[in-house]
Amino acid sequence: MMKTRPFGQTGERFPILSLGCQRLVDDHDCSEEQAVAILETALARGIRYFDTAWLYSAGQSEQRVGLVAKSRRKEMWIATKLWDPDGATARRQLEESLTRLQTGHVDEWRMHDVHSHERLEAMFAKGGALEAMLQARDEGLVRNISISGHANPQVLIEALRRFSFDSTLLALGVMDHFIYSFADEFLPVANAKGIATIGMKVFGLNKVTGPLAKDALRYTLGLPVSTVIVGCSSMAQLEADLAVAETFEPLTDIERLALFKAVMPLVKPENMPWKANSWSAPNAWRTR
Amino acid sequence: MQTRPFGKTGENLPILSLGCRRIVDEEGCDEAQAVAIIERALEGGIRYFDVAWSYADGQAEERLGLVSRERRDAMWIASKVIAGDRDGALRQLEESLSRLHTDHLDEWRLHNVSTYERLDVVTGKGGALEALIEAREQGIVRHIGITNHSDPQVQIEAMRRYPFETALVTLSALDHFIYSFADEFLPLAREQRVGIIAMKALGYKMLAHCAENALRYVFDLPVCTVAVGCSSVDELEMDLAIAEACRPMTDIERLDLYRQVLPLVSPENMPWKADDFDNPRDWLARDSGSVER
Repeated sequence: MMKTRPFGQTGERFPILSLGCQRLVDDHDCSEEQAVAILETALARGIRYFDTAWLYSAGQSEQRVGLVAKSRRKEMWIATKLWDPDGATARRQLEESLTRLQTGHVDEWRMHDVHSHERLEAMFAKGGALEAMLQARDEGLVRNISISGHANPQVLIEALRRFSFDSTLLALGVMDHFIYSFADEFLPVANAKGIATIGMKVFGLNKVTGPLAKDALRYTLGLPVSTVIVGCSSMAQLEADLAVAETFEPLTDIERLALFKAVMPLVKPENMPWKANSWSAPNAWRTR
Repeated sequence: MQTRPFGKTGENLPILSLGCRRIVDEEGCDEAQAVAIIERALEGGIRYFDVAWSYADGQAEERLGLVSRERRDAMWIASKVIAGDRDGALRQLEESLSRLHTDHLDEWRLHNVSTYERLDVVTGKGGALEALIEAREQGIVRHIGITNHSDPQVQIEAMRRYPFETALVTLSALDHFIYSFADEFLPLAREQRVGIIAMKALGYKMLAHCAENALRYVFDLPVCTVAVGCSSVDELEMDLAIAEACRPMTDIERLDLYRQVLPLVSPENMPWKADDFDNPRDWLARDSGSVER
C-alpha cells in the first residue's frame, strides 16, 4: 500500500507514485497490449494519476490511455497537455485529446514545457492558451489548470505570480539537483502557496539506470512534492518502481551523498536536453 | 564591500568577516602578525570579529583584545561560551571580557551546540542559556546567539526552545552535500529573521585551491556575513579581494564548483560532521532526539 499525499488545494490525495504515459507507445517498443496491461496493473496497485500529452507520439500515448479510460474513467485522474500557445490551436488540441482519451473531460489540462519567458508571454497573450484553458474550465471540459516546466524555475515562479495555477509539473530528478534546480528555487514558492507539485524526469530519460535507479526514485519521492510520475514502457519497470514506492523510506543524507557522487559524471547538457541549448543536439547548457 | 542586514539587530554588516581562531601561535601566527591582520581587516572595511573563550587557551581573545583596547567602537565582537552550566558560563564571560579589554560583547553565543544532548544541557535548568539571558539583561552582552557545526535539525529544535537572535553555522560548498544547513535551516532562519553568520567557507583549507568560487558560493546563500579564518595578511588580502569583487555565480559556474568539490566530501575532510572530530572515519549519525522532545 503506497503512502498518499494531498494534491494542492484540489481536495484530492494521490499515492506518491503516478504513471507517466509518454512511453506507452510503439516508439518505445511498447505494444498496445503491453500498454493496456501496464495501465491495468497500475490501477490494480493503487495508482490513480495518469499524465499524458497531446504531443506524445502523434497522439498514440493518449489513445492508449483512452483504451483503459473508456471503461475505467472514474478511477483515473487524467492530466494532458496542450502544446501550442495560440488559444484556437490549443482548443483544437483539447478536442483531439478528449476524443483520443474517450472521455468528456480531463481532470487537469497543462501548458506543456514552458521553458522561457517568451513562451510564457505567448501563453498569456490575448487570444493565447490561457484564455482557452479558462473557457474550457467554464465549460466543464477540464477541471484544473496546470503548467509544466523543464528548464527554468524562474519562469515558473513568474507564471505563478501571474495566475494561480492548480498544479505544476517539474523536472525534479537527481540530476536536476545540480543545475536550474526547481527543488531549490521553485518548490518553496509553490508549497508556500499550497499549489500541487508533480515531479518528473526521475531517471533523466533513462540516463540514471541500473543500481542507481532505486535510490534515484527515492530521492525524488523524498522531495516535498505531491506525487511523482515515472514513465514506463514495460511491466518490469512498473513493477520495479512500485516496489520502491510501496516500501518507500526517504534517503538518509549518507545515502543521498553516495547517489550524488555516482550521478555527478552524468550531469551534462548531452544527458539533460531539457536544460540544454537544444533538445535534439544538446552541447551546452541553456542560459537563463 | 557589500553590506547586508544582520537579522533583527538593526545592524548592517559587510559580507566578509574575520574568524579569529587562527590568529594564534599554533597556526604559525605571532602577535605582531595577528595585530597586522586585525588592523588590515578594519582598514579593509571588516567590522565583525568572531572569537571564542576556548580558542588556543584564550590567546585568540587576547590578541583581538590588543586591538579592541584602542578601536573597540569600530568593532563588532562576538565570543562564545563552551561551559554548559550557568555559573561556569558567567566565569568564562568574565575571562573573555578581561582578555578582550572591553566591558561588553556585541554578541555572546553558545559554542558548538551540535547534539540534542548538549542542547538539553545548555537550555536546561541552571544551563548556560540562563547566563546569556542574564548578561543581556545587565547590558554586558547586546545579542545572544548559538553555534552548530553538524546537525541542522538540532538547530531547528534550538530555535523552537529559544528565539536566538543569531546563529553561526557551517555553510561551505562541501556542507551543501550532507546535513545541509542551507537546505534545512536557512528557510526557517529567513522566516524568523535570525542573523546568520556562515563558517567553514573554505572547509579548513580543503577548498583553498578554489577559494574564489568557494567564497562566492557562500556569499550567494541567504546569509548576512561569512566569517573566514586567516593566519596571515596574505590570506586576508585574498579574501578581501574576492569579497570586494563578488558577483553572483551562474548555475553553470556553481555546477563546476560542485563537480570539483564533491569528491572531497568525506568524513575525513569534514571532521565537524564526522563521528569523531579528532579521528574522523564515519559520518556523524543523526541523533534521534532528546529526552525533552
